[in-house]
Amino acid sequence: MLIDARARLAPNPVEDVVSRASRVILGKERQIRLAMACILARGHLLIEDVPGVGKTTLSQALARLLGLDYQRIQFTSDLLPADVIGVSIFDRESSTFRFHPGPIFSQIVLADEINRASPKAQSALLEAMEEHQVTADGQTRPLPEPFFVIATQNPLHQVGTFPLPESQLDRFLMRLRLGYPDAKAERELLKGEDRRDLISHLEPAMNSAQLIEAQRAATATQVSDALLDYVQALVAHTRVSPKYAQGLSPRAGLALLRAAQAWAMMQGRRQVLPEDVQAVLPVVVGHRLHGTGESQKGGFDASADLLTSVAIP
Amino acid sequence: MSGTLPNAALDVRNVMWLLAAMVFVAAPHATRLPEWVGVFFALVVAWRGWIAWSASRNPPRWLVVALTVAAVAATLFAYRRVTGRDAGTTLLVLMAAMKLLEMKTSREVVLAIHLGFVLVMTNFLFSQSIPIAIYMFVCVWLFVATLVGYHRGVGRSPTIRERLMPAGMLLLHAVPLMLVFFILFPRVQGPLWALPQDARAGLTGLSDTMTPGSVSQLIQSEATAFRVQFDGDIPPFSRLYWRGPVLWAFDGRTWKVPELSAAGSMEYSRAERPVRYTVSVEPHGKHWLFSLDVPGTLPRGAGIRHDLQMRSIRPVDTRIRYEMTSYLDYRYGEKLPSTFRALGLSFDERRNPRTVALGRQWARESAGPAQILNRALQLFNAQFTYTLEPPLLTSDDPYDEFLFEVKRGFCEHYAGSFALLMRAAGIPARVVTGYQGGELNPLNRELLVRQADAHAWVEVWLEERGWIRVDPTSVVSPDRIDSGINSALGPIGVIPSLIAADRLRVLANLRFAWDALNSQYNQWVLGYNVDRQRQFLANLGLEISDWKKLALWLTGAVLAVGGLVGLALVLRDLPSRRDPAVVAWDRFCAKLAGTGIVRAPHEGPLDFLARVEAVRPAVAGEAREITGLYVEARYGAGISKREGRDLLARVRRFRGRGPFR
Repeated sequence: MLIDARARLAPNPVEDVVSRASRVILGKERQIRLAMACILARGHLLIEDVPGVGKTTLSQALARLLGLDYQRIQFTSDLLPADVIGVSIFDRESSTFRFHPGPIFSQIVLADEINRASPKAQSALLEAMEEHQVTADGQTRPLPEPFFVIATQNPLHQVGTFPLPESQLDRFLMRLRLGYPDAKAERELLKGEDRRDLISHLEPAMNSAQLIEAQRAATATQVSDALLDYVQALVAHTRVSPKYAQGLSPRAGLALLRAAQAWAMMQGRRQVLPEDVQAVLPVVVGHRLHGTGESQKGGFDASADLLTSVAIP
Repeated sequence: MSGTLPNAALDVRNVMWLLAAMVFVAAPHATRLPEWVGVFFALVVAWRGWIAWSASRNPPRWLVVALTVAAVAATLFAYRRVTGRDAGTTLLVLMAAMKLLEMKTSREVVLAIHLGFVLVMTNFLFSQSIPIAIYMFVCVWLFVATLVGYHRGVGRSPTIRERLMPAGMLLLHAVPLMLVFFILFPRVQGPLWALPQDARAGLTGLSDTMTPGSVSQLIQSEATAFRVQFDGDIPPFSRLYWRGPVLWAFDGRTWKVPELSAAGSMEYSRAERPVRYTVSVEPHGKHWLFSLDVPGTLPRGAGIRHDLQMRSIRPVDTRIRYEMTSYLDYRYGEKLPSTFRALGLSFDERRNPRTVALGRQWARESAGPAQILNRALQLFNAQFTYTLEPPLLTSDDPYDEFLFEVKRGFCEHYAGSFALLMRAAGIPARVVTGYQGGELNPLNRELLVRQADAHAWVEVWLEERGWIRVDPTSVVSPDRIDSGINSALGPIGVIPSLIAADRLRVLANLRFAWDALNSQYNQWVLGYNVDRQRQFLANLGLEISDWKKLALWLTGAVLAVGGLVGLALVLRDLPSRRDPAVVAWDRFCAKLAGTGIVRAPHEGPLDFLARVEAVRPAVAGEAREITGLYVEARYGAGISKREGRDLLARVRRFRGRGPFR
């Protein structure tokens, strides 16, 4: 009665987005779903992986499919905050300064290779992410709604990167890793069309009104006391266990819950189950939780460890 | 330390906690045991601390053995034995230190902690005062906190709070049991186990002899001699003569308790206005008990001699408490047997010749005993001064020296010389030592008599009057008798001079409050003996006559209280009300677990269902229904009562292997 509701709810624009995106990014349906859940939970998304696995493709595909206007900012080491926010230019005809909005003024901002830019430029973007507004020349300008940042970054050990500080990483609801495609998907990719062409032909699968509606539905999914007990038990465990360098923040707990709600909705359920929390836990917690020096040795996966060491109450 | 395996017990911080607790518990012994014990203990603890800090190895076995042998030998050398309070405690402290050095495994750590608890007990052999009791409670807390740390396992060491809080909670849980044991544990008449002889060293109090200068040593002591609680009005201070040893035998310098032990009678020809009171005597190691003149009743386990000196059968080694009645207006001993008359008149003719001559001269010149008494009192009144620090009387005739040269003295000088003068003049006389006055605590109306209140006076026997009290000191220094020793001498020592400066009487009130607290503690905690216990239990409505019954009651109460505390703890840890859906679900999972499909603790219901469906399709349908109901009940909007019953019924019917097997 609860389990097969997904089939009953279809066709549904969210599923439509997922299935169409899966045709462009092959063999990555789970990552696409998680990205979609992130957007439905109104969180910003960070995609981290080596170059060439489709980070940019995924973000571009999502932007197009969601029917939102989007702009892309390629972050480089010489990028200035004004390149992100915009700049006031003297207009001779009216003899006034006119503000030329930067690429941040759009519903979806693709911040490509965010860790190649200097901290100054990074912080311009990250502040806008947090406050949903931009202040330039003493004037505060609101950003459009909905507003998302999908940022991509290279793994930190690559040359020429400025790692994001932990406080700024915390502003991303999820951090996804795409990983290499499996053999079948890779073969298809090699045989198939150019991805850029595919994206340029993508038609929006939903409009912004539908998106806002879906976001509202996500926040309306049922969260029982028993589920809150579970979320609290998870968070509490990170704070008392000696295996983690630092416990999860209340913001992280909230992020976990919101993402789980969106995930539950995408599963076609009205209520959030521990499985939903577990599904989003690795991507929500992964960039926030680290093992201590000792436990980090030997490929310690903090989020996987957390998942198996807390019983469902 | 020596192995490569992580050993939680020997984690640096755990070892440091243990060492700190050990130092804490052993610290009070530093003043009681020889210095070398403290030095040895401190060195070993420091050594062990360094071993833990630098993660180096414990000393080799032969060295530990050698040190242990040396410690035992040193104890033997110092005390000539290893038993007794001081030697035993010394040995225990040294062995505890050696145990620290030897400590390698968790078991030995726990053993060391328990040694710490034994060290706590040894402290009570020396003092059972309130501050020591509080201090020892802190020690126990520290040791339990150390134990808590050891049981936390490897990993992040618990913080101070994480150690102290659970330890404190554990101790609080033990309080009801402690009370039960305290109230019901069978007390034995007298000390349960005899305290070693050396435990009584250093008790202060009156002695059974008096030489010039012996009482004034006591005056330096602020220690409590006894406490008195009066029923009704308190007699005037000038009548509070607390009778102690009566000294008849005199050798020219020293007055002594005679060897006679004739029992006394307590028939007084005129006995009116009895005063009733309860006395709590601090241990003084001798036999005598104190009462106002003259005693009308005898405490249990005490006798009275012919000279009205009350004696306890057993030495007063523990604090004892007795009820008394006394008659302040009395006439007694009107008939004096000849042996006592002879004793009351005897003195050594060759000693103190000038004093003896003076007494004889008065006898010749006076019409009767009353006149002789008056002449002596006038002499003291006119020429003598009262001082706490009289010059030492060094000659063989000390009372001659005092009466004719020094003329400054303390109560024992006046009492001794007065009695000698009377004897020389043919009046039977004896010296009575004891205490005079006391300090009234306004908070609990209890009279506190200190060693400083020690006093000596004279009794003379007059024809047709019997024995009457004459206090020659009162004519020299009337203040001494009317308002106590402090007003006669001015402040003595640091604390009294602080009190003298204390205009608002804050310090005085604090001292009174502290003393009132001590009195209650002595009475109800330390003085909780067989009688008190019986009385207390009778008030509770329990008539418990013998210790066997008491032991049964104790066992029952311990089981009951322990059970209640345990039950409370178990109930606290249970979820307040278990969700019936969870009960059903747990049963469902248990049934499947019985058939080999075990749900992992972190496995969600849908994941588990998927596994069940895959592994055992025969039960898939029913499992789906149960899971669906459970999920709705637990994570959805809830289910109706009917659905709840349905869920339970389904779980009850559910067979893990399928319906046909």
